[in-house]
Amino acid sequence: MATDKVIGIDLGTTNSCVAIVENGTPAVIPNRGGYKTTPSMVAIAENGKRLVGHIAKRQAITNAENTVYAAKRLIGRKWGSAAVRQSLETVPYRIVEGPHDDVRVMLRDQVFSVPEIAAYILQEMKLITEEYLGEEISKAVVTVPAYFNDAQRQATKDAGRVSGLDVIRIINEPTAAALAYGFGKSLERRVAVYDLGGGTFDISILEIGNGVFEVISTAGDTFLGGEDFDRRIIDWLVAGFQREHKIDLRKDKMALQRLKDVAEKAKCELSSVRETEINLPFIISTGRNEALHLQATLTRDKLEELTADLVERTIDICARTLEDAEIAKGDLEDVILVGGMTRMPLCQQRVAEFFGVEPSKGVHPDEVVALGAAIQAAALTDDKHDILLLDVTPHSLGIMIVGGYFHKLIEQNTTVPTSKSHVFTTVKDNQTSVKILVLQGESDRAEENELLGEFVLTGLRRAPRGEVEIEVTFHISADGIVSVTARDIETGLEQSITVTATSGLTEDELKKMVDANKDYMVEVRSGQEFDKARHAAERVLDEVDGLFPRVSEIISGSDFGQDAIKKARSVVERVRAAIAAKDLAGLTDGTEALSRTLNMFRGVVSKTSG
Amino acid sequence: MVADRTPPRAPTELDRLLGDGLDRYRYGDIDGALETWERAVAIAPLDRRANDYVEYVRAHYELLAPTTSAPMAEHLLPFGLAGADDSADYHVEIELPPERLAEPSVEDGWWLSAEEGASATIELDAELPPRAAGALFGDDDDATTDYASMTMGSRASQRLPLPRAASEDSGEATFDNFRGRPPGPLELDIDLSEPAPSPPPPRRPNLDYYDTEPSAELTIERGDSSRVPTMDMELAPSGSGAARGELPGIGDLTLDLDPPAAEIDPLAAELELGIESSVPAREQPVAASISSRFDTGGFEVEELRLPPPPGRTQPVDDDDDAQAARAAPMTGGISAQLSAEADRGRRAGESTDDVARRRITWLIDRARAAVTTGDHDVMVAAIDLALSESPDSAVAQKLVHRHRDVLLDCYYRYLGSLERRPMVTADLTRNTGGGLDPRAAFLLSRIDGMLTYDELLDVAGMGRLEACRHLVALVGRGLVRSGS
Repeated sequence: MATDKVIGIDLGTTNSCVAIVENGTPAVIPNRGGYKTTPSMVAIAENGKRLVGHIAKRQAITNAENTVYAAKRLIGRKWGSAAVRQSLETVPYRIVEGPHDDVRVMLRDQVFSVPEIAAYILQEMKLITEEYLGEEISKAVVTVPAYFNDAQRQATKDAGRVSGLDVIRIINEPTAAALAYGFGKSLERRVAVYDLGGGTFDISILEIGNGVFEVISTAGDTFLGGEDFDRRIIDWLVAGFQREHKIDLRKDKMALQRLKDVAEKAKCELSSVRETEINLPFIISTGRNEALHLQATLTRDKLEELTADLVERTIDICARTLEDAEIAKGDLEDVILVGGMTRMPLCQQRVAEFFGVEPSKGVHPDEVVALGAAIQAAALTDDKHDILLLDVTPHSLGIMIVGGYFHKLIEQNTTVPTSKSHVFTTVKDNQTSVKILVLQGESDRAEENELLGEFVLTGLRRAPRGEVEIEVTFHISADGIVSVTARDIETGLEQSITVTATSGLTEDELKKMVDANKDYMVEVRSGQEFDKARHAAERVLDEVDGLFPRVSEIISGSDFGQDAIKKARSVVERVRAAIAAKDLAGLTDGTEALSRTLNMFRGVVSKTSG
Repeated sequence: MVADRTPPRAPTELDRLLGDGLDRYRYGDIDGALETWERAVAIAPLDRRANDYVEYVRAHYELLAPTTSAPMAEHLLPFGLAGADDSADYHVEIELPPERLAEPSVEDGWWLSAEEGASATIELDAELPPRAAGALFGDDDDATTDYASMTMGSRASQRLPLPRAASEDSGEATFDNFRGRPPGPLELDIDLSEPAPSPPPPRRPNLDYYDTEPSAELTIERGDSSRVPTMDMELAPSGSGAARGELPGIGDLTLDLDPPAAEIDPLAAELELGIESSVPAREQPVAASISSRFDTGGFEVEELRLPPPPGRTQPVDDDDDAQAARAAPMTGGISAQLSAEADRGRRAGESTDDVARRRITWLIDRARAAVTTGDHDVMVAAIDLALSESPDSAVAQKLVHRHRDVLLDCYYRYLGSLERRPMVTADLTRNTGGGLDPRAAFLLSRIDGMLTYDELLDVAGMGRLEACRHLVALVGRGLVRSGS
């Protein structure tokens, strides 16, 4: 039976985190290994088993083509989008075109939608919580980057549905971070949220006041994160090894996997120590009767030298964002650091230098977003919490006008809810209808922006061009639902559309995914049960087999004994047949009978021994 | 419609074709694999891998062409792509001086094939380390795990005082390395067998060789190849089955002959020598190696090098057979016995494939029987022999593939519940473990205390059978133990 508890999930590009508010205190829930974050990775093993989280990461390079990471970059995207094109060039797993210009991922000949992949990660977070709390969880608040469009948000919601979670609210990551930062305090200030995670960088400016959290501006780079820092270390190690031994470790997947693991570890260690030893014994075979070890010392200075340009890229984005939002650095009272990479001293140093203020150390960079989501979840289920979240439109909204241009009605970063109107005219003589194409994006060219929907306003009065006036009104509700109305000012005739975000999946597809996921989980659990039962049965079988010759010798002289042996053989055969047929019920029954047989055998042996 | 992820480029396309071919091969699609590799050859006519693959499949097409569509085991991949470097035992070739081959004498100590150019093999194996020895690998500085070819028997043995030999820096090895070993005999099994697939008719060993009072030399040396003095050993008078000697600066060592000379099976053509160390443990570890050299026969055993003290990049022995020995649990004595038993049913005029078929079938049956009786060492040794049998024979590979589930099941039974979490008992960065296959080292690096055995096998990056084999070997060597 599911409880009313609602969890907060930070569904990250490289790592995910789950938190809950209990007794008024938000807390992160550790996974089975005791870690508070879980890798956002999904893999399909050779035997078809689905691997999620930590275990998927352990084999991410050796099984690279069947391991999905950074699926968040693909969620809700169209096949032709720039992010998908860029991912195609960088990831080792197969991204393929799905129906309706959608994106799919292919793992071991199985095709998965991106929401399905995200669903497996959300499901892992759900399971972690359920194991920890000992109760079923069915509702969650999930965070997404502030720049996610409607389709991406809807796809995240769909992922929740496939995982068995009702996503009752999607909130922006910087908003969640600010929520956790301001939790329990009465703050009125403008802050920057500098979020350098494993795979992406985001910078957001928020206004906090009277329990209201408003995102003023947001920007970032979806292909810049801790992975890039790891890669630099790997490059350095590989180059050093190649110089010394003329062997390219990149060609050996196992060596590369170990390099990746050790690079990440070294990077983390160098946030607290000045230098670290990297040791990888028996990393590779030379093919000349030798196995080689890799040993190196990496200093913090060296790491900073290797990655300084990456840090500078984040600072450049910060500068552009402040400029676009027309905010002076001096207007910011605090900088909240989010993401594990912000532990790097160079990051902290450059952020402090740029913003002219020491970044806040009061929040845990890996946990702050999930904690904020949990706080929001608690606010939604408990009337006592009085938090108002004001989000902004991540992208500009408008319509296509003559010449294929994009006319913005609502600018990017406008606080929602909002409404805006603009009057347009006909472009041809005797034009009786207009087609309204609703678009989202920043390009002046309509075709370069995302089409959200279209409708036609008909019945216009026949008149020379430019004479008939049509008022187009955009309205975005607090829930982010966009509605567009076109009205003939003269006649009052109007036509409207409500843009319902779609993840690219149809309702039928979603239902099938939900069912398939349930079936898979049932199969996994029954498989685990069967394995346990089989192990138990085999232990008893071994003992019975061991005693059989002696017992046969002792009791076969009597009719009763012969009958007992016959029955015992029959039970043994039954158990073996149940194992072969993977028949759990039969195995359970058979093992019970076998245990009784074993007891009888033991009795016979002990009596004769005694 | 499914579109390709990236536009093909020449090198990538080649790699993709090779990989695709391997996938098809693994899944039994021999025709598909051949066709794919032929395409690879077409775009890169000089690529050795592509050519090798095509040549191999063409040469073995009849045997490889599947009767079922079941995936092929990883060890069926050609050219040792996976696991082909695993053989059960460590074999060191002994080059026999031609004159001795031509005229074996009493001084040889035992008879070897008089065939010209023949070589004998010395198999260095030992028993499993005692599980109960809690301190065995508990210390990071403990170098005892380095001894791939040597472990202690479970018998107790007396400790004798031993003067410290030389400092670590001197390059001399000491028995310091054995710190942490419980007192007990160190056993070095030496198997003299003939490597030829169809051995010539065996000749009766000279069972009276003790009368000749031959001597043996034991060389201990560090992994960086600096040698320490060798030791001359006198083989004891007939019947005692022992040889004794003093290693300067180290102490007394005893070589035991096992089985006793009188019981040596003339057909087995092998002798096992156990080296019993009367050397006490020392405090400071030094990575070293032990090899044996017998001057009685005028031939030498190649040195078995072990890695140097940690701290720098250093080559280590990576000989295929040595790798296999490292992967395999140290069940040398059992292996020899099983191998001999497997040959009891041999018939005259058997082809190589017949031999492989007979031996593998027998060994797998033996492994299954051993599982039932809980005799895990025998099971592991039998499987190892089966997997190592005729690695170039497609028949052997097919047989092993057919019994893959049985073999896996045996390994699973050895490991116990696959839901248990394995733990690493030694820090390889400090203790290089006496040589390790990089694939085994990779497997070891996946163990993090969180993954269960089952999960570990999922993330092994190699076929499950090969992963199991490495894992069982690691458990056998005491480098891994089962946690909760």
